Formats: sequence, structure tokens, C-alpha cells
Amino acid sequence: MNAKINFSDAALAEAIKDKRNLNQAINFLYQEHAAVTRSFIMGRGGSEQDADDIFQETVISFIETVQKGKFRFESGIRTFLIAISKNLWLNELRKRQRSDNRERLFEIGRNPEDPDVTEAIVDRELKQHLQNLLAGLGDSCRNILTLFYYENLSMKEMVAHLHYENEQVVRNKKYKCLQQLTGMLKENPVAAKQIAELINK
Amino acid sequence: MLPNKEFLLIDYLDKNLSPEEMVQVESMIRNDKQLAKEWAYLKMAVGAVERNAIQEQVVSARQNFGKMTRPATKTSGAVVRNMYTTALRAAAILIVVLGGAMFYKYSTVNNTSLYQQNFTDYTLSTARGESNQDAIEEAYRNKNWNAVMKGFNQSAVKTNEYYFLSGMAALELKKYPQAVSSFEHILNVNANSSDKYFQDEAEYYLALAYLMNHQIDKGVSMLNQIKANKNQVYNPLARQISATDLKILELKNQK
Repeated sequence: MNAKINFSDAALAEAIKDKRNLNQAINFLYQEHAAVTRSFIMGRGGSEQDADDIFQETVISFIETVQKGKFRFESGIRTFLIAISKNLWLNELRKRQRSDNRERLFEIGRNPEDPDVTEAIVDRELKQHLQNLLAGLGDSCRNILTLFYYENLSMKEMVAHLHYENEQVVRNKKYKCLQQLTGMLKENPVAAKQIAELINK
Repeated sequence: MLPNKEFLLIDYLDKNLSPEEMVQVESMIRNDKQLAKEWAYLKMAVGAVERNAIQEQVVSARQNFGKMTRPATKTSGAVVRNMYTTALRAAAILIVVLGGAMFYKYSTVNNTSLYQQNFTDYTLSTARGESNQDAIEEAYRNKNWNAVMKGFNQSAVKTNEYYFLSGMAALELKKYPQAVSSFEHILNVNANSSDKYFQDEAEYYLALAYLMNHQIDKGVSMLNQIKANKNQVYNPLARQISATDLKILELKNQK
């Protein structure tokens, strides 16, 4: 089990960026900041489920922003998270197009003092494309690619982790998995275009 | 695309090439449209894997986190009403009944009634599976307020969280001066720090503590600040406190 770590804003951003304490950092984000967005969303027409979903997406967007080196401490982390949540909830309300949402949209509005989080916001449609894509890849391939490209494990470590015979077997398997994924992207130009936009954000 | 070119691109992606070979492949990508396209797809694939991995980690954290920290309205029977509407209605009746309702309203609103109507339990999260429970947090979860105070006093390291929990315990024990002191400490620390841990929580409960500590002006002023700040986490709760009630409280305090 992970020990509870208290992070300053700077230490939290560093932990997210270098990924070494990412799990603790995510837990800390939940412990320290979930209640804020939860109350914010629920105070503006959202259900508990909405509040949880929005905060989950807020954390993902924040991690991506930090890992891309685009969080520049122009505001505190809490302020930034609230701004992301606010934008995500505005987008969600617009999509739901309920009659009572007009008032809420006006009420939430955009505050000129809010930090600019445009780059952090990811479209829900893209999320769905990504989920479908990776689900179609299969557990084995998803695991191999994640360990190599996200966890940065070496081939040697992957052999031990995945119980393959040797490094060459893992290398070949990774190559095929990557081929399979690029093939899926080529067959789905809409998803590919959106993912390209996400990467280049 | 020839398999060897694809291998070459993957080796380039994985940084398995020598510096000279890296430069060569970069040049090839710049000059070969087909290769550039293939390179773009590889980057997309890795981007998708990374995004998915982050998502899985966050979903897992969300599941482990379980019930999140949230203020829950106390079930002591204190009903949070829209007193502004009530006040408007009372004003209409006032035309007929004149001073009666006004007198009733004036006589029933006081610091204790406002406090009881607007005090909400602060529920600490329960991170499922977390083994090294913090003693102060554990005592707080068990509503052992004296143990929270004792743990806080004995703790060598006092974080904003500990100050906040000790303030909440003091409120529960009706030790209002101590609650004020703990919450004020958080605001003072945050005023000199870029981190604002427990800022919103401390503001709201400090306002309530001020009311019970007979610092009415400070309490009303802080509640009005929270009501005006839409980004304050307790703004939705503060907005349920009627301006009329706060005004009555101020008037009574001036006497």
C-alpha cells in the first residue's frame, strides 16, 4: 500500500511529470481537490455521478497538461483544476441541451480571472475513440505497449514482467502490436485525426 | 511500406539508433511523404497508448478512493430553507399582520440558529485498502473529537489538514475560540504560500466559528465573501443563507 504523501504544488507537478510517484500524486489530487470540484459541479445542476466523471476527466487532462510541460504555474493547481472542471461541465451542459441549462450556462459563464485551460480540454468523442481503439487492441498488446511506451520498461524488464522467453520474442510481439494499432488508426481516419490533434495540442 | 523501413522508424521511435542514424532517419522523414505519414501514425499510436494508460491509472485511483470527501448536511433536523423567499412572503403578510411576523423573524434569528442551520458535517474520505491510517484522521472518522485534539496537540508536524481537523473537532466540542484559532492559522499560512490547502473549507467553517464566538461582524463579512465567490467550494451552501438573516444578525450585534 502506498504511504500518504503530502505534496506542495511544485512537488505534485514534478511527481506527475517524471511519473515516479504518479499513483501517489493521483491519490493526492483526489484527497485534496476532489471535494472542491464535486461541490462545484453538484452546486450547478450535476449529479454525484456527473461530479465524479468530471473530476476523473479533470485529473486526466491535468496530468496530460503537466506531462507535456504546459502547466506553467500561472495559477495554483486547485484553481487550474476548478477551471478545467468548469469548462468540462459547461461543455457537458451544452451537449445535454436541457431547457434549464441556459440559466446555468449563464450562471457559470466564463470568469476573466479563470486560468486559460483551452489546451487541457479533451473532447468526449475523442475519449470514446481512444477507449474503443485500445479495447480492440486486446489486453496482451495493450499491456506490452503500455509497459514499453508509458512505463518506460526496458526489454529485459519486460521479459521478466511478462514471462516471455527472451527479449527478441518481446521485441517481435511489440512490433506486431504497434503495427496492429497503427493499422487500426489507418482504418479509422476520424479517430486518427482527433488523436493527432490531441498529441499536437 | 517496406518492412525494413518500418523497423527503422520503430527503432527511431524507440531511440535504438546511433546519433548518426537518428539524423539520417529525421532527414528521410522530412523528405519522404510516405515515411512522414507512417511516422505520424506511429506517434498517434504511442499517444493513444499513453492517454489510455493515464486514464486507467486515474480510474483505478477513483475506484480506490471510494467515497470522496464531501460535506454532508447534518441530519439533526436543521432544514436549509430559502429564507429570502420566506422573507419576501413574510413582508407580504406584514402588510396585514404588520409588526407580528417581523417581530417573530427578528426574534428567532440569532447566531446559534444560523450556525445550526448551516453547519454541515465534514466527512473525511475513506481510501479503501490504505493500510497506514493516520491517527488524527482515524480519530476524526470515528468522531472521537477529544482524540483529534489530543493527536493534534501531540503532533510534531502540523499540516493544514491537521489544523482543519482540529478546528472541526473544536467546533464539535463547542470550543469556538480554539476553532477560530485553528481556521485562522490555515488562512494565515495560505496567505504566504502558493498552496491553498483547505482554504475554502477553513473560510466557511471559520465564518461559522466566528458567529458562535460572538465575532458577528467577521462571520457575516466572511459569509458574504463566500456568497460572492462562485469558485469557492462552499459558495452553494453560503448562498442558501439569506441576506435578511445576516442583516438581522448584524443589527442585533450593533445593539
